[in-house]
Amino acid sequence: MNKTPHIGIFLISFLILSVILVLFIVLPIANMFLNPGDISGAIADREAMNSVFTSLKAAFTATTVSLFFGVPLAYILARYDFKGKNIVEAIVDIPMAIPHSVIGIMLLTFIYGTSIGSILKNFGIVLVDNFWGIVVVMIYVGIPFMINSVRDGFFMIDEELEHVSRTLGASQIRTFFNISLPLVKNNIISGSILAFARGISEVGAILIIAYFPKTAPVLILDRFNEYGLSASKPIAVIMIIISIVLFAIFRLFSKNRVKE
Amino acid sequence: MIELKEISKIWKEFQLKNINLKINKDYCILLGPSGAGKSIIIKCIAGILKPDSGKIYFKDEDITNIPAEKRNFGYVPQNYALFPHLNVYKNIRYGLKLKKIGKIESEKRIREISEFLNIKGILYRYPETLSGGEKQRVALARTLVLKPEILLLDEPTSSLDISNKENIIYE
Repeated sequence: MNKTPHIGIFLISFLILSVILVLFIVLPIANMFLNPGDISGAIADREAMNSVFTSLKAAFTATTVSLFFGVPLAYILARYDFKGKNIVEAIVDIPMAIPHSVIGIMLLTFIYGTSIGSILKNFGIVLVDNFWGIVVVMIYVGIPFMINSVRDGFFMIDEELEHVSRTLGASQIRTFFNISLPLVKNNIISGSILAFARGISEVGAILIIAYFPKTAPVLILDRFNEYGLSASKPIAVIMIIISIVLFAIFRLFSKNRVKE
Repeated sequence: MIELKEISKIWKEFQLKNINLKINKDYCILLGPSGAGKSIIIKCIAGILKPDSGKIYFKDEDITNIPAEKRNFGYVPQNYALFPHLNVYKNIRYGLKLKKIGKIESEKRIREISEFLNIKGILYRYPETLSGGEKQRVALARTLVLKPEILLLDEPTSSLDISNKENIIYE
């Protein structure tokens, strides 16, 4: 019995589907690069560059905060079993499931509808139509990626490494910083890149919470609505380049992690 | 020297219940089937796990609530647990740095132990490049440089072939 034709049909059909999918992703991007519009004009456009800078600054700030709060929770979820752990893990994933505009409505309701908003205001912290509102939204949408990536990293570390470190004289905190954290370096990097990328691409929730200062995706939407494709394309191309570079770095670190 | 009184501990899927043990010898071997709780006993003595109930005494002193980092008990797990991001030299030096042992004294101890355990030639290699026997000697060196009061070895020969087992036991 000749098996080769079956393997051939199997591989060919999978290849066809894969090629269609890859083209589905790549063709619109390629078309943008071939017809980018007035890129130099976009670079000279102060409002456009400010919006890109605001996006990068807010995403960087949000990622740093996500790192600070996300790593301890990731460690707890990886190392400890407790009642309600499944619920906590589900809560962590919730922001990924909620539609973006709903996240905006939810956060706005929380700010205006609870005393927390007025407490923050008393301390001079304004979130609505403010840079920090953008940061809060980016944290909310990006943190599941941070926590899940880092948690998976901690999960893969042999607990005995931490046990030995303790018996060699290191406290739990020293063990965490000397042993556990260095070993999840790549997971922290990939989690940070994913959280950063998710935050910087957010539009729906930011439109509701903090229309100003405008982030690049918000400005792109504005320009499209007011002036059409030609006005929005150049800034969109700049954002595509930034996104591609981010994910190229992510893939590089992911590959290094697999090799280890 | 070591006494366990009514030690009970539930850890993951393992359970110890009302264990009493007294060790006064220079060395002691715990034998038991897989899953009997030998590793949990070792971890409780080392201070890695805190018993749910009961007391642990060392030289008649209650050490139950003393954390692992303060007990000065050497511990070598079954898989040796060498720190993969540190070379052999830094693995051995890890505890010396934590205990703030001076550089000259540290270098002397590392030199002596690496000669004794025949690992001088691999000091700058990383754990992933070592054989099973080399890993075990490095793990031993790492704990012996700190001159521990007692040495706790969890399944020290399980992952070695017959000839290496005999060598390790002899050493």
